[in-house]
Amino acid sequence: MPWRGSTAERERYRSEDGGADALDVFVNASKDRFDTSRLWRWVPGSALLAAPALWLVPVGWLLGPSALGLATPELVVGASPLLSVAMAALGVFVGLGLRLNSPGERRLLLASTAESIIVMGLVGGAGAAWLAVTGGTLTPAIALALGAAAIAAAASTPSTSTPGPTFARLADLDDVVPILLGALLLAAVQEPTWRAALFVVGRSAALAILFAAAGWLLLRGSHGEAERVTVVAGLLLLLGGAAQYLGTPALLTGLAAGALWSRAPGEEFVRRYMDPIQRPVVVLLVVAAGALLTITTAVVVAALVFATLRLAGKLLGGRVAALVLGITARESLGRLLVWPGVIGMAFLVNLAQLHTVDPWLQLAFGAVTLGTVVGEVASLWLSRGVEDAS
Amino acid sequence: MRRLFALAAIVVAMAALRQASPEAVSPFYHLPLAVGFTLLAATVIGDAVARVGLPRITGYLLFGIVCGPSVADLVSREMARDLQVVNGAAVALIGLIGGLELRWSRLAPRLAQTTRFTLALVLVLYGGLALLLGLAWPWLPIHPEASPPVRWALASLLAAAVATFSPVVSVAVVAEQRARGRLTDVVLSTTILGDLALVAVFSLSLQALRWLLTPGAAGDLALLVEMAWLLVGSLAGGALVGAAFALYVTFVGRELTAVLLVLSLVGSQAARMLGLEPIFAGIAAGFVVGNVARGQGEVLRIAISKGSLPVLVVFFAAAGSALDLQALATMWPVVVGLVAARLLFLRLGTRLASRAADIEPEIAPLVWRGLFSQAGITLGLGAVIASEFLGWGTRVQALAVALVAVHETVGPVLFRNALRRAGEHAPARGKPLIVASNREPYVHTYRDDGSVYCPATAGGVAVALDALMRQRGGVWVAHGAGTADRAVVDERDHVLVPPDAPSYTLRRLWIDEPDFSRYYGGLANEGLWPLCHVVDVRPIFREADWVAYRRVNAQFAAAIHQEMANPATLVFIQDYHLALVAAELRARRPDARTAIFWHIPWPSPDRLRVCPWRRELLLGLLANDLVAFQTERDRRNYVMATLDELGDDVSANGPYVSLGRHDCAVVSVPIGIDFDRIQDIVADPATEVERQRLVERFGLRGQIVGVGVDRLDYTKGIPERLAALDRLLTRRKELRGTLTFVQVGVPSRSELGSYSAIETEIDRAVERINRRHAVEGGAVPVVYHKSALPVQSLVPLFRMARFCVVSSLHDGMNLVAKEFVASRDDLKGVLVLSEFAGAAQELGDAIIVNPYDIEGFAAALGRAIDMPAVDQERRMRTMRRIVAGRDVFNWASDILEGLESLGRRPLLFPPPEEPAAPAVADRSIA
Repeated sequence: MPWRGSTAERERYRSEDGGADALDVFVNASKDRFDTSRLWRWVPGSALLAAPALWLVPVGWLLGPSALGLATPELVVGASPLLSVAMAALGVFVGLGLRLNSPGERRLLLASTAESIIVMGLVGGAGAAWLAVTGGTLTPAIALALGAAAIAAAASTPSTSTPGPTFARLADLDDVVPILLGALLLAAVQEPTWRAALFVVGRSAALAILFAAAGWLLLRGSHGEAERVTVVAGLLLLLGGAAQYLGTPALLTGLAAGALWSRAPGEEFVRRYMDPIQRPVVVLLVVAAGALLTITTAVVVAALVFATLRLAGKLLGGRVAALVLGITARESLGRLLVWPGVIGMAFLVNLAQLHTVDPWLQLAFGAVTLGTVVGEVASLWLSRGVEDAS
Repeated sequence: MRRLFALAAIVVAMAALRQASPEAVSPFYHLPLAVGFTLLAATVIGDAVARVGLPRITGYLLFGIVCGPSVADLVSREMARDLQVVNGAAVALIGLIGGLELRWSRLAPRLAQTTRFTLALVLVLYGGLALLLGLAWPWLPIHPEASPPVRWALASLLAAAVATFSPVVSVAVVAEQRARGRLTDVVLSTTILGDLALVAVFSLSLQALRWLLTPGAAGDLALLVEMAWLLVGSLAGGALVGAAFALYVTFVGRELTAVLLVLSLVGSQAARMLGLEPIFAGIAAGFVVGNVARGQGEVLRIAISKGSLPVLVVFFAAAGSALDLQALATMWPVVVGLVAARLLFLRLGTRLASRAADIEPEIAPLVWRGLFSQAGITLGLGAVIASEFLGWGTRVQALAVALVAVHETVGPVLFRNALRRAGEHAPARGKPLIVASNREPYVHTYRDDGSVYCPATAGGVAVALDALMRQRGGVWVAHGAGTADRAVVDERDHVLVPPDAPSYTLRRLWIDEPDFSRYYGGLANEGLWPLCHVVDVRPIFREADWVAYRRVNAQFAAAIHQEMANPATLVFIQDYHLALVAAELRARRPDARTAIFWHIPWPSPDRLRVCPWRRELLLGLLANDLVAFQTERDRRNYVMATLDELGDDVSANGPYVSLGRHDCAVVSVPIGIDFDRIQDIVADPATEVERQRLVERFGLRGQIVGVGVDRLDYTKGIPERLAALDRLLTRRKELRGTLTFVQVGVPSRSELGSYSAIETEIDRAVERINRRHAVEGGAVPVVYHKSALPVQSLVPLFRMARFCVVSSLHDGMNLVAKEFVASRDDLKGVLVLSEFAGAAQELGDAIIVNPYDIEGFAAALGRAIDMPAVDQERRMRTMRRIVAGRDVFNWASDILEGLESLGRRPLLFPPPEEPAAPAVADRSIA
């Protein structure tokens, strides 16, 4: 059965934007009033608007210091705490997806791990080789690899199409290894020994689990919706803030907390109250990435190379994942996995903020941000006519 | 205890974190950690403080003081500084909440009175303080050597600063207490108007002081302009932003959370940069939104107030962490004197002003408590003095900080106390509640041996409302239908229930025959039920039924009236049996506050036209303050019907339908289930025992199991479901002998022809399928259990099922669908759900079917059976999130909180006419 997903359906496919706006739901927004989606229909090529990076990155860039200058460098830098919170939220979603109940699920984890290692190896390896020649540090290569591995996470399965389940689960699970590996490798770069790096990562995860356990106790004992919203918001801020305070990726603290909650009864509460928090933060995150972007020839070239290598890695990784899972439509799966995730860009934004003076890292950031935009264009084109991959 | 453990874990983790000494690479680097820690820890402390009768915000302040840099230093100086950024947005949001509370329609008639009161109060308070300070100036450690003219100017300046109030604290206490009423209005308007007047006096005093100290500055009006800009600019700027936001809410109305947060954050920063006061700007913006986009403004107010907890937590915790205890320690004798003097003149001023402005005697003695607080404006004026007069100016600033430390800590406690005394707060257990329903939650029945037993009524809604009443207490008015009901009630027809743990009163109502049959069996079930469900069953309307319906509704209203000892009592009416109760009650108690939840669908206006008493029904519902439907479609149908049928008498504005001066909020609030209760049953070891019993009883041995649980009603689509099953087994013969569909059918209203007919039809269909598709030695195709099963049996049955079918031809919600989802914590199983059930609006991850399309329905059953586990899990996870997130308590609290917080106006609803004499003619649709 061919992929017949409309733009709106593709939008439904993606969970990184979070759920509906809390106030909108409360006031029953736009049910009988002006629907902003009408605006989009007037825009030529409106199908492209299903991809958030594709229009939010340019919006951010236009607002940023490189163009109109409305978002001043100080303002953009000041938004960095929000990025940590956004990443913690994304990490929690990945962690919540770690509930592996069956051998089939475990095989999905294996397939996704294989797929992400291939992509990271290809992009990271090329990056490392390039930096070895040009004399850069190892960190940008790691950053490129991590930025390449992410796929737009999918939370719900469209009812009219069937590639959903496998793709969606792979998209959930293939972020696990990059997050763990990224945290470890970055700590290794920053710390004098591997042991110290392990300590840093372990400390962050342990604190996150402690916060998550405390948050869980609070959530179970909370009275009413307002208090639950407060607790979940506080937890996300703590997870993001703790990571920033310790200089470790917030994706890791979010992942640790999410993994704990995925095993706790009633994870639905966490998901329910996280959704509305996530969406505005992610929009800010992508806009901030656009605002931080400085477009130079080097960045454009690096982005094109990055996007090409990532594309090749995803297609290859998709085939390997399909092989592990015994799926016949191998090419289709790879083409679906090409869709770039906000996680990669978020990671680079945060890293670029932590290492503002490293020009290679700034270049890697530009390559991943612009590469994500290119990747979204490519995946819009590639996902047309994808055969059933499940 | 659980919360204390959580608090301890958070504090330990935070202390461990603080051991690291990070390099701050950007401003606001500590912000998420500070806000996150504050939100969680301060919430717990606020809760603990609330248990000993203090306002939660006192707990938040306490958290800030104890954990802040002055004491434990868990919130470092940098973190406290970063928190101030959020604080700016919080102030703007608190202002917005306050502005939304201010209704022009409510304030306008009393504007002159409020202005008179405020001016009189300010005159006494400011005048008294200025006089006292002027006389005591030589002994104050500020600027004792000042010459007499300068001394009096200084006294005037300081008095204006010391006299100021705190709109932020007042609004915050009102929001936290969800307070409504005259005292609330007087305090809110006085703090705003009073501060405007005091800032003006401050500006004039400062100008005079400049003139005295620097004669050359006489012509320099910069400061006056600055202050005028602060006042007028803040209000005008806020009003402009409010107007823009009102337009956005009205014409776009999307992404409101993000827009509001960005507006608050950016707006507060912009206000500071422009020299404006965020609290005034926020209040002006809220006032404009609330009065321009009136319908949406009201809903926004409720929504923002519901979400105000994090804002209040952060604001007060940040304020606590910024309090300078050092200043208090060094200047305490002066501070004590000034606090005492302010208190004295405040009390004197409110007493005199109340007389001058004819403030109601019930609230006049309480107003001073609401005006005691001080916060940002006092600090702001202190800062102006410090920047203007280096040296002694900084001593004034320190004094202001110390004064705020006292007033900000004590003020909320006093104001809360005043609101409690005035009866304007929403207490923890909520206002007194009366629930009215046709069916009673407990039925006393005689056994054969003459003893009495008292089972609880089955059914999701009854269970849910029972749980609410257990938690909240109150009176439940219902028809007493049990054989022993009369024997157990007292002389007021009261009995305490539940029998095992009495926690609320059941008031029984005796409805005699033939009224009961006509009201319940006749109009409700032969008329309104088929009218509201589009299932091609003709509604029957008999004049006699209508008369009986009105009489019984009047009887309910009279009983409710008798139970309404407290005027603040909320009345929560259930369903289509009691559509006229609110109108009848309104005739007796115009101030009654009622909501009705319409559990079944509401028909389209064209369909409604077949009802001869449609206008009366529409008006009857409109007599409520709040009418809630299951879905947006039902809500829309009702609003369209009122506009169609009632013509120019009514108007719709946002969620409101107005009739004359009466506003009725019409909303959709989908009902949920008691999710936690089902989780408890799932976790109970007895559930496994029950599962084994069901396996034996229904002969379920390893085959594919499908399940359907319904009342035997023509709206449930059971024949269509069986036809689809028949088609599936015909198409896929391999399923014969391996598939069993368990149909639990609960006979209901069997005395009505349409119901007995459907029972017969189902009996025959089951027999036909079992005859056609049975396989020797294989599973029986359909197991038909024709009686109710308790939820303790339904849960294991649901957990055995590969799929559950809900095939209603039309249904308000259908809680079976949600109960199935709640039972599946293993994330297995597929829900096949009719698109005509209200639940389909929420559970989009079910397999949605049209039960009239038998081929499609059969195919859907096949898909459910074949669905891969990973797909089942994904769908079930999404559906569980929805069902868990909107449980029955959310449903009830949404309606009751909505009802409590709706704006009040005098209700002039026309009393219903006396029921006409019974007529004999039947009116069925031809």
